[in-house]
Amino acid sequence: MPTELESLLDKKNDNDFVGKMIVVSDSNADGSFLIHHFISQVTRDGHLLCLVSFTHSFVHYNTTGTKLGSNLLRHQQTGKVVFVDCLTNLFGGKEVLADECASDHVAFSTASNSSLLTDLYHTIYLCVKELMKNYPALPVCLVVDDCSLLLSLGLKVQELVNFVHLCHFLLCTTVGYCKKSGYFILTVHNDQNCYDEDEQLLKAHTLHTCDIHLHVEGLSTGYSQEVHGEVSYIHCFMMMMQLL
Amino acid sequence: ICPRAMSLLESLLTGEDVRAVSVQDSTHLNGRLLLKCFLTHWVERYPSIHVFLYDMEEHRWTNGLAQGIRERMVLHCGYSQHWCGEKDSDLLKDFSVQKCVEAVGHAPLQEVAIIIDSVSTLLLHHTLSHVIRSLKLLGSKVASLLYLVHSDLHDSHVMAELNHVTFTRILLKSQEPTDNCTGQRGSCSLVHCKKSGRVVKKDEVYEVSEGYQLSGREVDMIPIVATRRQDPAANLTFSVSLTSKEKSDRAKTVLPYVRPQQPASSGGQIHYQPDQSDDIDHSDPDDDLDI
Repeated sequence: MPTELESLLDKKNDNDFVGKMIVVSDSNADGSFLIHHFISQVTRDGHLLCLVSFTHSFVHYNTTGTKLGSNLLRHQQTGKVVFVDCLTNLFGGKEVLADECASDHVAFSTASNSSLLTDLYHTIYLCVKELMKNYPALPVCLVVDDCSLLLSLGLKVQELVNFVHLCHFLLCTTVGYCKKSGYFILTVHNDQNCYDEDEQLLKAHTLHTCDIHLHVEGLSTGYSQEVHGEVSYIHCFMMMMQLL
Repeated sequence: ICPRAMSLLESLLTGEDVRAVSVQDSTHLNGRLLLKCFLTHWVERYPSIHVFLYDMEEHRWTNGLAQGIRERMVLHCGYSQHWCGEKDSDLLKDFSVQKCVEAVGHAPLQEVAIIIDSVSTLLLHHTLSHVIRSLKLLGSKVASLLYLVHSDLHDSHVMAELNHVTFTRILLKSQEPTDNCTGQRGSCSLVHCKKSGRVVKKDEVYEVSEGYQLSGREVDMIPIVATRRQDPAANLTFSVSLTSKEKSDRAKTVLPYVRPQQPASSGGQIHYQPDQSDDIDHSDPDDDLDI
C-alpha cells in the first residue's frame, strides 16, 4: 500500500510537499490510513512533526506507525515530534504566553472570536517554534486530525476557516514564521449522504486553499469485503501551473 | 470567406462594454485562470490595473504571469497584510471603497481597472450589505471592475445579491487540460447586460493557451457530426430477431382465454353463464313505481 500511495502522489523527493497544504477528505469511508501514511513518511524523511489530534491518542499513532516502520515515540524523545493531545485536553496542556506569541507579529487578534481556537493556535505556534529552534534546517509538518470534529463542539465555520488560514499562513507562506519551509496536512470529514451544511462549507473552504486534495470514499456500487473504497488525487495548483 | 465573429468572452477581454464582471468558480473549476486572461488582455487597454489580493500571497498568484504583465499591474496583497497583523494597512480587515481608492493613488479612476481575488474572502470578514454596497460604488467609479466569487461557499441568497450588482457574470461549468497539457479548456455560461439595457445570455467554450491567451466560441457554433446508430444486435453469436415464418406463426397463435372473433351484430351483447346458486329474478324491479 505505501508504494502505491507514493506512486499516486508522484513523490520524487523528500521535500516535494514542502510549502504545500494537503487536505485529506473522506466520505462514507475512513481516510485515516492516509494520515498514518503521511506521519510515517514525515518521520522516515527526517522532517519535524507537530501532530494535533482530536480523534486518537498518541499510543494509537505510535502503534500504527510501528507497523508502518516508524517509531514515533523515539522521535518524540529526540524532540522531532510534538504531539498536541486535543482528545483529552483541548488546549494541549501547554502553558501559553500571549506576549511571547504577539512579539512575532502574527495576527492572533484577527484569528477569530473563539478563545478556544486562539489558544489552540497559540499552542501550535509555540510547538512549531520549539521544533524549529531545535532543528532549524529541517522542514516542519503540521498534521491536524480531524478539524471537522470542532464543528460538533459548536464552533462556527468561519472561526474554523480562520484557524485553517492561520495554520496555512504559518507554514506554507514566505511571509509566515516558517518562511515556506513547512507543510500542512489537514483532514476533514463530510459524508455525502448526510447533508451537513457546515461540514460541506468547511470542506469547500479548505479545498479552495489547498494545493493537493486526496478524497477517500466508498465504492459507488456499495459495500465490498475485499475492496474498501477509492482514493482520488487532485493537484489543485497544477491547474494553474500547467500554463508555464 | 467571412471572418469568425468574436465570441462574447473574447469581446469582454477587449474591454469593450465592460463594467462590473464577476467570475463564479467552484472547488475544482479554477476561476483564477480567467482572471489572469483578463489581466493579460486588459494591460493593453487600461493605463492602470490594480489587483487586490485577499486569497493568497503575492508570489503564488503572480506565478506563471509574464514579467511584462507583472510590471504593468499594481498588486495590493491584503492577504499578507492581514495575516501578518499589519494594523496600519490591512486592506482585508478595513475593506471599503475609500481604502481601495486611496490604494489606487493618483491615477484617474476613469482609466483604472480593478481586479479582486476574491469576494468570498471579503464576505468572511464583512457583512454582505457592506460588500455589495462597496462593489456597486467601486464599479461606478472605475473603468472596469472584475472580481472572483467561489460560488460553492455561498448560499443562493448571497449569490442572488451578488448577481444583482454585476453587469456581466461568467459561470464556469467545466474545465480540463488540453490534449498536450500546455493549457486549459472549458465551458461557461455568460449573462451580459449591455449599456443599452439588452441582456445577452450565451453558453461558450474557451481554450486558454500559453501566456494566458484565451480564445472562445459559442456552443451552438460547434458542428454536430451525425453519428450512425449502431445496431446492438449486429455482432451477436445468437439470433434475437425473428424470421418471416416465425413472425407469421406468432400472428396465427391463438391465445388461451381469448374467444374467436364473431361477426359484429347490432349493439353490444353480454354473455353470462349463470351458476347453480344464482337466483335470477326476471320481474321488473320498477313495477311498483307510480311516476
